[in-house]
Amino acid sequence: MTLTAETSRTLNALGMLAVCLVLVLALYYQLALYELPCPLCLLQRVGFVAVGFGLGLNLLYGARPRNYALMLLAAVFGGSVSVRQILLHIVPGTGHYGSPVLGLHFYTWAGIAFFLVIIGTSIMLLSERQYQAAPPEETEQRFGGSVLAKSAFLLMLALAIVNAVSALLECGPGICADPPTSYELIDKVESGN
Amino acid sequence: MIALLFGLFASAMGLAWYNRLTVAYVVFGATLLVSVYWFKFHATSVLTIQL
Repeated sequence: MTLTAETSRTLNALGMLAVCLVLVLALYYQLALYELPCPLCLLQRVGFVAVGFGLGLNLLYGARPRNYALMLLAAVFGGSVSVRQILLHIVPGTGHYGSPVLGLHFYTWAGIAFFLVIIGTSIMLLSERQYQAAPPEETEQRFGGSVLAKSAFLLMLALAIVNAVSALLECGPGICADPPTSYELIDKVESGN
Repeated sequence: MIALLFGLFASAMGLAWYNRLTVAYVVFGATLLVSVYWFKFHATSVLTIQL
């Protein structure tokens, strides 16, 4: 498979935007429908942000096999969390967490998404040509001068920060409640404790 | 503490932005290990199993 450095960066940017879309949807359900994420749900989001780190390095300085390796490790972590949560609810009558989206719950979609990340990353690793040095004018610039790549990186960074604030408000500085019922830190501040 | 994981990954991305790649990789690796610890903690907690 022949993939130029520029095409590789564009594909990585699109992958980053897809991961961002997952995080945005999760935030929408949290904020608009007041569905607080459980600890395992939060850890799946952590997995997506970790995948975003590997993608971000590919966007910043060009594709490298080690960055894809980090993405695979992150996807295996996130996928493991998803599978754990799927198994929690796989027996009929054991309930579920959150409302379904297109018939599947978020943790099931997350498991599918992490599986797709592993497949996509493996396919990207097939191309050797993407690692060849880009022209000097491109390597001197972060993101190879791509506005799409820079936007995707900054969006992921912003989503990581938003999730950090959200998790802090929900769990406080300690262990997250399981299942969560309210924003613990806000409650503490309001009650003056 | 899960908030810290997001914060650390965001820091790793910030470090990568400023070309501190070695530190960024170390922060990433350490954060992923801590994430695995929290995964083990929450996956085996009594409350979760009783759901």
